[in-house]
Amino acid sequence: MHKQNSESAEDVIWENFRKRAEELQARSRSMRRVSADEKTRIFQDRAHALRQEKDKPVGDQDVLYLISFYVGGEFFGIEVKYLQEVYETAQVTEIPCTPDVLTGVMNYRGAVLTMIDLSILLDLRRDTYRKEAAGPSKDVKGQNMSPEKVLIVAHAGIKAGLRIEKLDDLLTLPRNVVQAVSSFFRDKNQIVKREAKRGNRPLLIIDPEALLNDERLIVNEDVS
Amino acid sequence: MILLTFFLNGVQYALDVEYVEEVIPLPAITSVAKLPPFFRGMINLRGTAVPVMDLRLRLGLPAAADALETDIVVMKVAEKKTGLIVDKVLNVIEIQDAQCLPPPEFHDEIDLAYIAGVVQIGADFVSLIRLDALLAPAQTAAGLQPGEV
Repeated sequence: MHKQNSESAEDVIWENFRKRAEELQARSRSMRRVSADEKTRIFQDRAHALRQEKDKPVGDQDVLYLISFYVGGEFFGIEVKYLQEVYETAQVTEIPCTPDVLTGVMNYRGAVLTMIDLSILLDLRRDTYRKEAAGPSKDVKGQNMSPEKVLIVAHAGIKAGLRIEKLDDLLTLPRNVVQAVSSFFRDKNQIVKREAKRGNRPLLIIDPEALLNDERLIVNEDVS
Repeated sequence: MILLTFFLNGVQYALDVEYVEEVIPLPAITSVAKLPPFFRGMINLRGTAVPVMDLRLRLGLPAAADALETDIVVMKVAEKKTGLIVDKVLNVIEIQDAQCLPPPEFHDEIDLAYIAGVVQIGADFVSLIRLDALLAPAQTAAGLQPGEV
């Protein structure tokens, strides 16, 4: 009696299985029968996907995303991946006993941010820079300068602000137009290792890793 | 020799994998004016315009409506990419070069100029398609004798 019961229960289960399989088969058959409109749409979708497929990885490998700007009359670029933010001007507070390269600190969203003066770090024509950017201000360290922009760059936990004169553009450069600067310059500074042509202007690409680890940024001064 | 096999009008054919770039499901094709009938147009393959050839028409087989299973085999010969529409890509198999026999004297469906040889896979004979003949201009290809080019 008991055995019979269990057998019939099994039969029911198998019957259900069979029904389910038939249902699934019917459904998959109906899925294959798509209307002409739907088919056209699927083909369109595929074409659309094909246009963009792998576009990103390919692009990321072959292309450099840069933000370009002017400092000291020179044209520079920094890879966007190092860029945290472009900040409007802020009050820069000078810190005594720091190298000239460190302009001071500024209040960046409640945190203290070190400001680096690229024109000193890169030994640019300081006079022109001051004249053009600072306007009437003659303060040596550029305090209270006229409004300018600050690039917040970050690498490996080090964050710093770079004051720039003028923001230019976001550039997408194919990697093959970017070349190493001549070794003559490379020996003098480690910060600009690569360059590219933008129109007929050379674009110097700053390496933020070298920039933020530059030994001139290390403060070690005794005041007696 | 590694071959890519596919169905065309219910029959298996093969292409040398060396020239196959990729296989993609058939997308919408942009038609281009003044093409020979076996060229369907072009597709935008990640920014490159790739001409697409209907292999059925190229080989003189009856045309078929595009199905969802239809594939495009993108070939790259001499730095030039061409897409071939096939019914369905089947398999990639490795064979010994000796397994590739010369084409038969007669062939039902297909102009012999396009057949480089015949390969036995399982019980079936599979025709290995000659790419140079396929991608050559139609007039030249039609006048081809087996063994030429």
